[in-house]
Amino acid sequence: MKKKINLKSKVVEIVSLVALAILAVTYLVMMGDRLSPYMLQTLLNQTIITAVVSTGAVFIYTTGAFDISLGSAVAVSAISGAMVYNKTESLFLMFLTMIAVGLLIELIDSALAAFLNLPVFVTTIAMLSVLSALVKIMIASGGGAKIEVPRAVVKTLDSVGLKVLILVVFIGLCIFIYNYTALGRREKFLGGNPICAKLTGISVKKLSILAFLIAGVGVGLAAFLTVVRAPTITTSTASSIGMDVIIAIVFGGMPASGGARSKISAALVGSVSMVLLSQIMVILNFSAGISQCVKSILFLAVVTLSGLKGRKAMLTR
Amino acid sequence: MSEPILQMQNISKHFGLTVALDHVDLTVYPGEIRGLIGENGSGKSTISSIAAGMQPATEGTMKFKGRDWAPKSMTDALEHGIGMVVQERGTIGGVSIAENIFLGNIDQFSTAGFVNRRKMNQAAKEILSLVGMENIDPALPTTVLDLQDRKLVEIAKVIARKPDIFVVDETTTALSQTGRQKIYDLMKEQKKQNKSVLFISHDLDELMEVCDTLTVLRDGNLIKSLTKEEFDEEEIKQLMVGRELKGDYYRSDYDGSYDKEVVLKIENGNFGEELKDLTLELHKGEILGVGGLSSCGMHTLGKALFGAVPLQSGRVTAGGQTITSEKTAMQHKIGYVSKDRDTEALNMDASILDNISIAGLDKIAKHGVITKKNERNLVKEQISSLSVKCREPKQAVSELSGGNKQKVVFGKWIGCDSEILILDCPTRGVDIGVKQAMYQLIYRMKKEGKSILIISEELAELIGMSDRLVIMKDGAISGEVTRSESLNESAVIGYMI
Amino acid sequence: MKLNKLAAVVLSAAMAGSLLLTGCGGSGNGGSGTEGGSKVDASDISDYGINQNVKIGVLASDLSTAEALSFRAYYEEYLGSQYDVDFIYSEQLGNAEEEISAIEQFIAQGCQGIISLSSFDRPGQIDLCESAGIYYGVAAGVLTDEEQKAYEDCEHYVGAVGPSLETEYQTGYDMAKYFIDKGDTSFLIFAGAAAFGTEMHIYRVAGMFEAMCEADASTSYNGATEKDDIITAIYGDLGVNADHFSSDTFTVSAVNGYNMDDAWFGEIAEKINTPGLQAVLAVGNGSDFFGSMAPEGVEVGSVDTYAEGYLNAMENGQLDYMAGKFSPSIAPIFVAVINAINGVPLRSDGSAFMIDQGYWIATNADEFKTFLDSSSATNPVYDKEILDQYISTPENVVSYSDFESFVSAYTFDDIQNLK
Repeated sequence: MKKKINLKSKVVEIVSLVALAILAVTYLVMMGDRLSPYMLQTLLNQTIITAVVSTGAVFIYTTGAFDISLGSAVAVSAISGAMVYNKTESLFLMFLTMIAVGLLIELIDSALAAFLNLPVFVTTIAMLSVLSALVKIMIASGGGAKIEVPRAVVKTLDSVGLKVLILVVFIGLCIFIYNYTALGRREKFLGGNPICAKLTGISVKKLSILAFLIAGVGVGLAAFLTVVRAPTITTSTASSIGMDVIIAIVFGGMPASGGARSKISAALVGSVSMVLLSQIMVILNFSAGISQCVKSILFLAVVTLSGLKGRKAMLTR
Repeated sequence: MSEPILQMQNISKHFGLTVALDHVDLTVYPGEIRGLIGENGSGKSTISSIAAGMQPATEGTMKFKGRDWAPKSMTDALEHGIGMVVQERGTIGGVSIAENIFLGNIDQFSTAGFVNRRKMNQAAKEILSLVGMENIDPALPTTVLDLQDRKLVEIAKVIARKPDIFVVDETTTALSQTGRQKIYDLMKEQKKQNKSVLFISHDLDELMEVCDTLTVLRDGNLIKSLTKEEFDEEEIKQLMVGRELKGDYYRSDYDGSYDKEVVLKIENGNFGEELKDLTLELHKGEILGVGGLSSCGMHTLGKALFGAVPLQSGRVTAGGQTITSEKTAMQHKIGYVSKDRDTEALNMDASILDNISIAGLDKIAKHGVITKKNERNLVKEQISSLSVKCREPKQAVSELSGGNKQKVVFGKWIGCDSEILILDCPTRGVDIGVKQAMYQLIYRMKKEGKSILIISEELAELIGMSDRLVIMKDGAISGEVTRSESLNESAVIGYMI
Repeated sequence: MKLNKLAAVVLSAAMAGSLLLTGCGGSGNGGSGTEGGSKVDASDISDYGINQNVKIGVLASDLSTAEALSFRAYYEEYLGSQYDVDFIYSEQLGNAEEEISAIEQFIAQGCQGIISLSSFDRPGQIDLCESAGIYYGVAAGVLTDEEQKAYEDCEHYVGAVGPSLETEYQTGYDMAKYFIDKGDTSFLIFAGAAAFGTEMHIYRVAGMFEAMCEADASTSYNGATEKDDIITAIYGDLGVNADHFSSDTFTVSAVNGYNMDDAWFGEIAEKINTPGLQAVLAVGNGSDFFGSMAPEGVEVGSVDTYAEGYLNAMENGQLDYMAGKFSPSIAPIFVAVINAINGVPLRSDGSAFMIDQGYWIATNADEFKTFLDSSSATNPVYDKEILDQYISTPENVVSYSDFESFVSAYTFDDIQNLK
């Protein structure tokens, strides 16, 4: 009996990696001769923004919390940075602004929850409204339907090297914090059982705020990458990120309810899997509607499979 | 003796590859109170639940009142004469007490679709009076009742159906002394009417006092059935664990001395009805027992001493410093073992390793970095010194037995070098073998100069272990006794009620 | 467990590594285009779309309005059946990033050309298509003059066909003039996306004001009476602020935006029932919002598309003036993209073209019905017979000037003469 359970849980643990491997092989086989450096670059471009936001967000999800406003946070951060660039013409200041605004938004999000004693998802829902309104106001303040950073300037940053550098450094840093510092270990423990965590001297509020701040760095980086990819920012820029993050994290084999089975690698594994899946369906010429359905079915399958192990399975509290 | 009322023969129960019951025979006679005892996983609950229709047996036959017995469900069993009060089964919160009692049977009070509430409440009142709750208004929502009263409502529901066999499974763990007494009275009443009781518990004292016969189970096998005359505590314990328990159960000395130095103190602490102007000191090298009824406030006291309860007035100090949070408590090397192990003391999702190292992260971090090696060393040391039975440190703590889980909790606090340990019901739900090991460990820690506060609902263990024992009642200390050979339960109970 | 982690790291590293190694590559697959604008050897002309299958991706920011549906029906049902073309539609695009992702997916699907009906970031679209070597054309819209200047030399940017801002301005002017000529003086202006800074709506509103200024010299908007000043004023107000309108003859109220919430519909209901109101001048699909609410005697003018639903509106008196797109209007850019793919790009002095294309005006149900019939996917006004004249073959290489005059003759009558 016990052996059976263990076998099952092993399967669950690697199911996301197996899925990634299958998707990667399928993609490579289907592309065949058409596989070009350009296509791989496309994969990177489509993966990186979700991967970066998700990696930071793993800290939030680990604690059992939930941030639905990540997409709007990226948008506000991107617009702020773009405005600063257009005023100062300094890419460095633009970058700093994006990180700072990302941190600030997530700080407000979590600190508000801590001081008002609300579940953090409540404040993130409120934040979602506030931030999307802010996006509209900021864009309108520019007197048009969009805010732009000059394309020629941004193009200088649009290199594979820089993107990979950002991705590797950020993920590396997160893995280090997550596994090799008391902060990371406590975040994970907090997600498993907040009452027990409190009774082990862990400050739930402090850790929650720190988790959001780490996610804030991801938000800032994603804002930067978004502007590099598409320097024209409109009201719906980055709006799908919030949902993509949840899907990526679950696809990556981590329960959305956080806790002991959380892992940083889930963000990258899930983001790459999602993009490969989209590409495969594109090659198969599935219409957008069918692709959506296939994704939903796979999402349910992953949640169900992962739910074989552990208690409340994949859902957030 | 007369004809048996229930005969279970060759009963086996398999869960996948696990054999929960292996060809067990059990017989119950009219007018008999039969106890079932065994460690966790011995099969005592499984066999009684088969008799009461909760689950079918994999193989074997049953005869009840001379006929073949194969109940389809618990309701079916209750209808025909076997009623069971289950270990963990709550009443439903949102509806009234009366509705809870007649759940699924409300139709009997309705005419043309309208429920006659007056009639229903009246009937409910009669049932409640069976468990001495006649003063409770059955129209109130169930949520007004505390855990103990809810359990009593459950019992009343079963008793009201006048079962031939009344099955009680571990119910008493949730009850205080008064609540238990009510159950014992009900059992005696059953016996008087020449009806039977099947009583499952792992509290040996309780079983020996109440039961006429005792059946010992171990690992799904029937080990032995004993009649009242054959009851012998040592022998039964041995039968349960399958080996001789060497050495002392509790500590054997009656020394009771400790250092003068006060290491932890609560002064004039107030917290609602739970703590009323309470002052208590714990000394270095002392085992201080705190006893009382479950609702006397002693569990809150434990949390307050750990900084986990915001006192309305008064303060907790350790070494002259005020303890304001769990964190400051830990800085003063205080550890706290909660009575709700699975929900408060352990992260059930996580591994043994995670659960032990979490309190000691600051200790093993070098320049803020936690190496796997340091962590493993810390954890392995605890696993081996506490003999936690596990495959590997990475094993999920949820896979462990109750006793081994508790060892992990102990390991967490010992591993981070706690000097003061607040233990709330440390042996609750722990098998007898592990219990003994825990008592020895606690005594050893005292000898090492550590200070230990044990909060417990089991008077025997408090008397057996404490240097000093305080009894609480209604949030205040109602009595204090010191260690002596002549100390017994009846001397202490007086302070409790 | 250890193994799993290792596997995760290795897999991810492999993905990242392969991306890194190959990331510096140049242009990928795509069109088999010859050097744009240079002389063409007739024997080199391919026959994609005629005898060889070709895939064309369509970028769409709208998949649900009548206009979007009629466009799609024309491409997929009519052109798809007449030519060997697969039109691959994007999902409904919401921002610049999604446009880029969609183009990347078209490339993965092996599209040789892209037609854009989405305008969040046209320069970004052109950049990407240029770097991927895939032909790109804009339908039902144009670039700004600055954008056109910056990108007209891109080899793979074919061109744009749609209403210029000048045409939009004229469309607004014509609509207002029509009602003024009928003697109307009290108007409700629906300024739509002018509130979001959308240029085409701002220009249409400006045209409406200009018509009023012409009819009565006392009229001004925020003090402005000239075209450029009026446009600046509307930009500044983010839509129309009725308080800024003054005139001895005309009265104007306004509804802005597309909020579509209760408050917004409430505002519409209130303003359309203003006593004395004579006509609604809408910069967009006004009949959708105002038609059914308009009280007896209030007329509605819309800029929209020829679709069944609006014919009913016109027959029922919920729509009285329509400046409408006809769905085959997106045919010329298809012709141009096919020519480019086949190695015979149509270049205007070696650059990408930008050709103005306006609306068809209907003021009664009979006219409307004629135009609607000519917009159908079964018998469209631009049919294969006409289009074939402008798709180059080795026997017949089409010149840019022929193509330009073909596109410019966009009125209903002009097109009849092409046959």
